[in-house]
Amino acid sequence: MRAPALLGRSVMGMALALCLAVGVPGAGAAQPGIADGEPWLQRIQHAAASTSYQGTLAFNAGGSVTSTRVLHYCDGRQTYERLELLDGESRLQYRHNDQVLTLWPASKRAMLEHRDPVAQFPALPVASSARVLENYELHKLGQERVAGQDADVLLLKPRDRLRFAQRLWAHRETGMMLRNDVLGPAGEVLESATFVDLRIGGKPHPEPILKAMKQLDGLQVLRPVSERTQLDAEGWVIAKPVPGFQLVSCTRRPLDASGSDKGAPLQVVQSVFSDGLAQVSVFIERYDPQRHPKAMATSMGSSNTVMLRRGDWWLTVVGEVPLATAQQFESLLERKR
Amino acid sequence: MLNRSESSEARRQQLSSLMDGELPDDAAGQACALWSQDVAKRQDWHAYHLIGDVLRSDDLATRPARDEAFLQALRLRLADEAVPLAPAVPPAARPGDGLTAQPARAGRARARSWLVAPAAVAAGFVAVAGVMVATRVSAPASGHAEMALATPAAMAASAVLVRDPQLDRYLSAHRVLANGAMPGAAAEHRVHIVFEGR
Repeated sequence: MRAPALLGRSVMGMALALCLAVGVPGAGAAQPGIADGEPWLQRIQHAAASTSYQGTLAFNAGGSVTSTRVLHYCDGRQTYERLELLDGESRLQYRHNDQVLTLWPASKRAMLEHRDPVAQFPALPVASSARVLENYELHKLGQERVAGQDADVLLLKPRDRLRFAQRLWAHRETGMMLRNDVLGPAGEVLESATFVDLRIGGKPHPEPILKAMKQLDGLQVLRPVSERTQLDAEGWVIAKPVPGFQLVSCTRRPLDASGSDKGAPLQVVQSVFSDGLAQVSVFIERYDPQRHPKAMATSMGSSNTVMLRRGDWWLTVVGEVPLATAQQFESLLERKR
Repeated sequence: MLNRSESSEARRQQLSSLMDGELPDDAAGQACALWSQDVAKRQDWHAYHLIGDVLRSDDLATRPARDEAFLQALRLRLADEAVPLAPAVPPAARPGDGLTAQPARAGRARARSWLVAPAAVAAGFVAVAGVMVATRVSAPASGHAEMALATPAAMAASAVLVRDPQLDRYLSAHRVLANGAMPGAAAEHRVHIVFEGR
């Protein structure tokens, strides 16, 4: 006897039917792929690393929109940045290369850390563009105007069903990414990051950013420590990798370092895998019945999450990939000892 | 009519498929006849729904006595309700029949005295039938049939809106390291579609 699958499939089926009925322009509408896509991706990467700009970035996922004011200076070798979150609790982030200060002005809290993200909009992940093209096919969809700028519209279409398609808008003149949509299997937009206004170029003024990063008087400053580790050193192994994904970082770190934890922050081992475009994090921690009541799978924008207990351990897989891919990561993770 | 040689196991399988909305019209009719006529199958049918309810939420895992008490209370309340004055509708044009997928069965249900609110039962049945139809139509027409099947059906999924601050911390930690997002960004606004019960 088989357990009934309830209405889940039916609901998904209807959602799919709706998408098709509305006729969302999707992956299927693309022209033949570009034979040599690498220069396109390298141009986007180069622009993100060398362009100064300021503007407002809107992020839309799962029906919620947040905007951020961005100030970004590049002077050849150094990068300076100021981000201001415009929704919810006021929050500022100053960055000088990999040194990051996050500031919560209302509660007089600050967090100072070294950070090395795999990818930050408008950059693509640091992996080589050749790797992206092993997993995605590049198509040129045409030209559009975004945030007052002329842009080439590109589509990165996945070569299998383990990942989502992405649509990119690259600034005609500089190649800078102006907008990025993650698309579902029926071509629907799962989430979108876009500049709503933007000024490219201008002379860098890094002094106010450097000054703000030194003004820590009267603030409760947190300095979370994360240490590099290896999955096998932690007693775990991914026997067979999920096709196209490579391990790009593995750290032991506090899950929430922003000081909202009462008592000692919860320590987790976080491994990040990348296919050149999409990232998946695998969190491993000790099982605690108080904190981990129930196995579940969730979906928010393009992020899918699987959480479940494995003996003495609690596993959480989060990534901008289909739920089945997150489940595959979970099932391939094995305890060695 | 039902094939007498059919094993009990196969009939259970048919009920399970009915719940999943996988049966074509004629087979669905047979399966419904099965549970409406056979006491054992009715118990199976109830047990499957109970399993589904418990997977959806622990709150639904109650003893049958509670449902019985609720039904009794509902009967008493209905008896006390004022009768709304509405123009009489000739029997042939009853609006309920137009909406009911299986008029014959609905008629039989009305005739049963143990069903207090046959209209409500019929309406519930129509809703289920509607979903079944939608599934059947969309899967082949979409050209993404495999994709629809690859979705979390294996997880006995039920889409429930749940807020989970715990989850936000993982999502935020992932976004910070993977995509360079601000820590704790907009966690308070998030609502998740949660597929519970793996």
